[in-house]
Amino acid sequence: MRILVVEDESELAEAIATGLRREGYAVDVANDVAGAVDRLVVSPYDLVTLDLNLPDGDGLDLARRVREDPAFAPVEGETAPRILMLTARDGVGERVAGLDQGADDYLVKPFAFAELSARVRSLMRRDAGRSGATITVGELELDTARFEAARRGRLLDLTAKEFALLRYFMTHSGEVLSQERLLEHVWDENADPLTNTVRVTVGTLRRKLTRDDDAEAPIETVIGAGYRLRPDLLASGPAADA
Amino acid sequence: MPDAPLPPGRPVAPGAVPNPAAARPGVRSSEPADVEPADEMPLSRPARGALKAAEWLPDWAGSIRFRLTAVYSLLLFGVAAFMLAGMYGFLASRLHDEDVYRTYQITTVQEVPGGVVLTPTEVRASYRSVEALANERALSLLRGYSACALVVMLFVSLVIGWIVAGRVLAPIGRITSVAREIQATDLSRRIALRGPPDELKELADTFDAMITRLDDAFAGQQRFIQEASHELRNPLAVIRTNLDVALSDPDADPAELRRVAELVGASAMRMSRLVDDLLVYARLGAPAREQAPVELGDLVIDAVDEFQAVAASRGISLVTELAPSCVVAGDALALRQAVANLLHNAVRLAPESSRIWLATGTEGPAAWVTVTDEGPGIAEEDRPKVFQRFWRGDQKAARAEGRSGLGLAIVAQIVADHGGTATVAAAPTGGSIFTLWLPLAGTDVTIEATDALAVGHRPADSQEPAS
Repeated sequence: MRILVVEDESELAEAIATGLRREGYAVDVANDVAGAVDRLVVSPYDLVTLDLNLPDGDGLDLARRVREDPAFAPVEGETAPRILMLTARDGVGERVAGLDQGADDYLVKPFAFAELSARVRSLMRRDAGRSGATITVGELELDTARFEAARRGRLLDLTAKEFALLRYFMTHSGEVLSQERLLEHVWDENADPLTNTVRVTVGTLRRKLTRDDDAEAPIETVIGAGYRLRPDLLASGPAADA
Repeated sequence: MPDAPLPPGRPVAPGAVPNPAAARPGVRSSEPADVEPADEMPLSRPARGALKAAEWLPDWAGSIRFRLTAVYSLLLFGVAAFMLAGMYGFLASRLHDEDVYRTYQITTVQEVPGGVVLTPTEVRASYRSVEALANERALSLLRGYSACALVVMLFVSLVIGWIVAGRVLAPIGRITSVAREIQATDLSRRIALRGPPDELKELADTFDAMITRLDDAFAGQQRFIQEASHELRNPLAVIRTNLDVALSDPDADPAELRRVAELVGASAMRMSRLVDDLLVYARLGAPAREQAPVELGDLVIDAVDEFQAVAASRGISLVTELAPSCVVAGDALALRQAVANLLHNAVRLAPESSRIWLATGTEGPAAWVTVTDEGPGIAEEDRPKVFQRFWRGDQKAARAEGRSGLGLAIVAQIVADHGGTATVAAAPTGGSIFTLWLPLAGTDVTIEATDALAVGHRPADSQEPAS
């Protein structure tokens, strides 16, 4: 899950980015509208936290542009970024305008970071049409609030990056995800696209996920296309055991 | 309103009653001659009588509608009674002093032997007694009918008066009911009285104008509170988020915690400076300001003393050019702050080893102070905004320095409170020239910002200091 933090108070932006990175998100920061536009055009973000008062423009306008301007349209098969407005303006009129201009949620400064984090999770869940903080694919369970993943009830020992990667696989279970797409959604802009970091991380995640009695690894490599999480291989019950 | 007390200092109109005590030679009035004692407050005798009468009347009878009706009916009754009595008296007197008689030719036929002798005689027959009787009856009838007519008229006039007074006073009822409905939170209602431009319409319009002013003031206050809370929320968010993120990290090292603590300290500093400026700003515009003669040159000298050291540390020289007797009436402390804020801005922004000119002067009914720098100047499109609350040229730098964005707004407000105006223009030196226009002491003018003023006063370019 890749997040863009648009906020002109750099101390605040960095704190939000640090907190979100710790939860396994890939986070980039933009301090003004121009910087946000540059990044939004290039990278497919899953979520944008947007301040309304920016030095070179209004966050509301940016939200509307992201929704309407074809330059920001997501590529085939992906969804447009969710927009979470973070602002010091707290009037009802302001909030209504924000939500009407394309924001998916609205949070008034100052906020508790735990609330921001919960709202980010809630917005991310909307993609998969699920409710609750836990994602389940067969016998695989992922608690996005407590950062725990378990297979058949046994906790998996994952790094933050592996956790983020697994979360992305599980919200797109059954889909073939290319290396580029994984790089774009799980790694931030500082990742070097020329290294084999995606391949390595997918490899370690696959190793931690696979059990001794598995005939096939639940994450398969689709040659020439990318990787796929196989829900059929994770189906719980006697059929899978057989 | 002839009864209104004359404002002091106004010449007394001929015929006005002078204060008797003051007029008497040798008697010293305890009151100044032009201030009338309160108990001589002019209330005409009927008005005083009406006030007394109103005290013992029941409540319903105290209404203006009732009083109008009563006065109208009684006056009408009085006039009618007077006229009827006059007519009666006139009629009665005329009927008595004219003698009504008739002259008859009577021919007496006397038979005498051998014929008749006709003797014509004239007989004057008076009807005095008959007439007197008839008059008596007519007059008594007239008395009776008149009395009846008067009584009937009194009742009719009471009814008509009650209705007419009700109609005339109906707009007042509307004004009252609207006024009652207008709460402090709903100032959007207006009376909007329709009708001819009469006294009541004028009253309603005046009332509407007053509510509009209140509404504007209230909206302005709301806006200010909104902006202020917005400004306070940003540093609060910085503090809270940084603390949340740092404290939720179990592995945070002391260096990281120290960084966050310093950041929180800087934000708290920024907030307290903002609160200080907000308080200064909010106190402005309050009435009861001190009114004392203030020499603008003294303000400039004070400001230069205050900032000399800071300016010198940046190699900036402060040059003053003061004209004598630029005296304005006002609050010396507030005006000193206005000049100091301008100079503070200039010293902060001016490039190192540049000069800042401070000058005073007068023009027409106005005195002016200018602060001119060689600094970076202000883009033309930004110039109208510099006196707005929370406007900062460079948000980031302002934040880093903990500036509130209220300094120039405070200047503008102080000058406006003194009936003046503050302007900014591009200076020939490449920087900006800020000018405070204030009405000279003794003049009762308000200086409005105009295009002519916006140009501002240039410092005497020719008098650049030799130093």
